[in-house]
Amino acid sequence: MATLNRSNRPLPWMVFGVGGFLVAFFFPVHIFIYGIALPLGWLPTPSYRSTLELVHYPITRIYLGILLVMAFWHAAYRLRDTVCDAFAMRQVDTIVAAACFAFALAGSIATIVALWAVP
Amino acid sequence: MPQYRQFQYKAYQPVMSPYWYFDRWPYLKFMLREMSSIFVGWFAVVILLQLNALVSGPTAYANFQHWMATPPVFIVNILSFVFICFHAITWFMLVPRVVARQVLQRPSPDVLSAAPNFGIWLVASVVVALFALRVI
Repeated sequence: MATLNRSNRPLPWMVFGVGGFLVAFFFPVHIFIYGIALPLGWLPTPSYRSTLELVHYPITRIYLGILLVMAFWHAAYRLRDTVCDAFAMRQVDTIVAAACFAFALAGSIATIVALWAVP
Repeated sequence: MPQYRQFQYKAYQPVMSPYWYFDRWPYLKFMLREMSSIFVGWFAVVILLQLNALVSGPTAYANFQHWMATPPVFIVNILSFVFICFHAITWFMLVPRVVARQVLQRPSPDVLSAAPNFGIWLVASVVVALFALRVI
């Protein structure tokens, strides 16, 4: 009887896909505000207290948790192929994949710990 | 027993340059889009650092804000913005490629199929900006 080998590829691909959408929808505005507009003084900088208050809302923490975890896994999935293709390193794909997914795992754990630590 | 040497098939071994993506613009565009992953990873780490600074207190958060304004970090953030917008546009434009769509039994234009994504992107950006700037 033939053994049916089912690929586990769809599961990481789903995480990559969801992460791709979340990054596309939400990252540009984060980078624009915190990385460009506020350092240049184009927008009024909100106070420390009001920003901390924002993070106190459970919905903000859920939003940041899902966004960051998905972004880390999306980046890792794509970074693996980028490194292999850009530097002709497909023969060491296993090592590259391990390094990229270890980065995603570390980022996910750090995200959960950071959100948990919010007073 | 044949007296001639039998023809030996040689295995086809395609030769591919390690820098194949410089050969054509679509290949380079593909590779640039893939490189957006570096900047996604970078800014995810930046958001984590921001969160950590926020939890650590007003001084740590002020230091984080100063660090964000330093030229090297600012330049990387500009690059991140460009690359991630490139990712967003190419990602949204994929929708017409993967979704079967038609209007009145005719294939709908690519732009029409991708338009809802751009609409959601705009609304999501405005909502996040209003919260981030503490307007609401």
